[in-house]
Amino acid sequence: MWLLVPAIATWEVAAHSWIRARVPSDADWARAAAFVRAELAPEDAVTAAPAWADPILRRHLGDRIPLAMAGRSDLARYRRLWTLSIRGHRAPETRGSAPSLQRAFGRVTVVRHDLPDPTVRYDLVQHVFDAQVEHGKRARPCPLRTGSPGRGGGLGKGVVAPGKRFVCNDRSRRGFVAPVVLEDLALSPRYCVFQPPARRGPTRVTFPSVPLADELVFYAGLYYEDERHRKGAPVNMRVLLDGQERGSLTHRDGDGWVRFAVSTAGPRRAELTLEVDSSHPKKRGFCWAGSVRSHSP
Amino acid sequence: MNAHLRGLSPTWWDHLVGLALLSAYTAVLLVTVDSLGLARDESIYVHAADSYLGWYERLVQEPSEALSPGVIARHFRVNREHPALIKTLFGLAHKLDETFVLFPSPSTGYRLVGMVCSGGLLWLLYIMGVRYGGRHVGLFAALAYALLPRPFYHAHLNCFDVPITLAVTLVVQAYLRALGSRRWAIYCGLLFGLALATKHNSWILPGIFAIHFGFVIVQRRRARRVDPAVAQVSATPWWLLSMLLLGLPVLVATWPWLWHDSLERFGWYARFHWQHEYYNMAYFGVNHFRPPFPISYPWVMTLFTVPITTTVLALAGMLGDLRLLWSRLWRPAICPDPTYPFVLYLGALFAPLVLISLPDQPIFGGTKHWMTAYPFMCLFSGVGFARFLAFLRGRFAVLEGGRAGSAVTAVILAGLLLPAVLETSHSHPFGLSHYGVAVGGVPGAADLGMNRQFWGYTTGSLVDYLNARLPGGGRVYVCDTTTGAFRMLAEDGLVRPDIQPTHDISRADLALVHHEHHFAEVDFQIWALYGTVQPSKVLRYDGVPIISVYANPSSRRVRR
Repeated sequence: MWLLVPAIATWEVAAHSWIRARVPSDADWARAAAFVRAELAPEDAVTAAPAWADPILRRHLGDRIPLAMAGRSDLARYRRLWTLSIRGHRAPETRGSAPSLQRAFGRVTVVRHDLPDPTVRYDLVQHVFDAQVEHGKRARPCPLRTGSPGRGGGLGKGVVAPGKRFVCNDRSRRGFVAPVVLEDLALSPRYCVFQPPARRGPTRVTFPSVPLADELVFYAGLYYEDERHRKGAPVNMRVLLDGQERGSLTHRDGDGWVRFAVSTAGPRRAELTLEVDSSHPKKRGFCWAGSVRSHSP
Repeated sequence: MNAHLRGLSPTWWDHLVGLALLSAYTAVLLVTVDSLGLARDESIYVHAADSYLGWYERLVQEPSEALSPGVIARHFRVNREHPALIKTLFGLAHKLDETFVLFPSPSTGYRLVGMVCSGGLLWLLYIMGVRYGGRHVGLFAALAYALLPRPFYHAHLNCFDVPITLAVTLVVQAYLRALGSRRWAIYCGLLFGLALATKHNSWILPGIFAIHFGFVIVQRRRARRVDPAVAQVSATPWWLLSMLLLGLPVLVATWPWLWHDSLERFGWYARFHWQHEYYNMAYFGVNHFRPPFPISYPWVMTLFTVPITTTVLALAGMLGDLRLLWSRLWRPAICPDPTYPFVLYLGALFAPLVLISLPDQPIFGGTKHWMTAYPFMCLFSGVGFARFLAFLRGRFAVLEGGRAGSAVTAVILAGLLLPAVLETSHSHPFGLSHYGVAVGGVPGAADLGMNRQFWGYTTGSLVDYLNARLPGGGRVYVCDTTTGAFRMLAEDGLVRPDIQPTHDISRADLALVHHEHHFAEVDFQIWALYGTVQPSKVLRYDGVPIISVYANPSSRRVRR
């Protein structure tokens, strides 16, 4: 038994050296990133595996990663997914599918997966400034303003108001509607339209003319700190097409970032209204991402 | 207690070895301290230290005014969550540094007390080891403690965690000796008072002692039945009396805040810790922010952060002594030490770990919350080492004595401490981010979603970058680093004074994000405000992101 002691010490020294030797160098990351940069097409997405390496990926390729990609809800808009992988990790989104390309750059491996053809036809987050926004029982308009972004930031502050936003309540830090990057219940980034319920009555976002296809797909959730205590009132989101309710979501604390779809049965244009309310709207930092999609590419 | 090991009464030579350990370790800490930026809590204690020392200065100049309730309240209201003794010493050490210009950085003056306490702990541990099982036990225990990566980080700081570890270990040893000496009972009470005046970890000591004392008294009765003449310990708990009569007055005497409205203020202090708020701590991918917290937390974190060889030797030492205890439980009269130090040390080791395992106990402090357990763990590592030597001696005659024997023993000691040397030297200056090989190192811990840091102390590793990117000055969003801690970087001459901290992302020229799970929202706030997800730098430790730095695209001050 005692002979195990020097054996363990020797193993510990060897393991320490082995762990350090496996750390990818900056040059490995740079070479892998340069390769991906040269190959990257407009409808390609890039990710890092494991997720904790994401800041290093963004350091090298961040200029090719828009907010919508960094905070994506799914891969429906992309044709290919590039993964910069270390330590043998694979992106969870590619589990079960074979890569179409794999190439090692030192300790960093570039893996490419071909995805099903994109089904997204119209992105509601991208077009939110085409919409009209109103709030409260009396449907007061929330004017679109471009100015200074919100001050501060930091832990527990949630989203910070961007410079361009619909202003519903000047006195509230959260009294606006605009695209933001939200921290969801899983602490993941979500590029979405921040649309908290108003103090009295709902907040409405109305797109006057949306080119519909087979379905509207939404993802929605609340800011992490609003949801994590699981004490808040449910938030309701109603989807109306030309004034008729076609679907709804009741989001309860603990649900996290959830998907729901509304069938729209074929191409046509319609007025789309998204109405968000809650019986107790305090600390209900609700956010949604949505798109018009077809079943077939 | 040991078949192979025999404790010794320490000689002046042993105390010389202890003094050498103190001096060498303090010197190492002084050499390595400059690369550590001030941690969040340190900046608060600097503020408190200045305020408390200000009161003592006033006490010398205007005693009657200084003693008025209002003046005391003004000076001691700052950080009344913790007693004043150690912060006062921080302030005093800083004053000495200011007067005699001892160190190049002002922060080192504040930190000196913690560093000397760390060195003192090695001295104490060596002497305890000598008493318990001989010089090999003492030496290995002291060195094993010095080479624990996370305590090595804490050893540099002006915080209470190292002083309370020293104080608790000291009180444990004083209590042990108080079982057979009334003089030591008095020391025990006084030292307990100092421990109370250091940090509330000391509150658990009477509980540990009561259990141990109960065990000792039961054994005493059984031993007397066998042999009434056997050496005994006193059945009167003089130590308890002393702790009550001397401990509390020492706490009050060193904490002027308690001199007025005493009950109300002490009640507030006790309630603050009894009902402490919960902060975030990532553990296996989950961000824990409220109870119930995982019971496994202190055990797993100990396994992941203490060098494995040290842990294995501690387990070997502990199990060996446990076996001896078990065999002697049924023959109490022949026990060579009726104070049963093994039982006491075992209690002192496990009590903090068990306490933090309770699901409602906050875990936000990481391993520092049970750091008082580590000296005892290392003591058992020393026992394991001595047992290993005894095993080798039975097989290799060269180890039996003489110069050759000593040389081989030294080589074995160095060999068994080598993993700890490598881990600890590699952990600096990222001590709180460090994980050992049990979890696959820092990247392995990141894979499992373990906490990567807290207190925002890693900003100190970015000073060269900040100076280079803001040649004409500017503002830095400092995320988890306090403005006080950042300003101390400037006072220490590490960051240029024209680079100022801010908590406003949109007005900052550079924005930092300390990578902890729950700080993800700050990353996302910066993305949205700066319109980019691309950091200008990612500070890494073993390839794992520690801090991301973003350059505000609207800033004209950032050198691109």
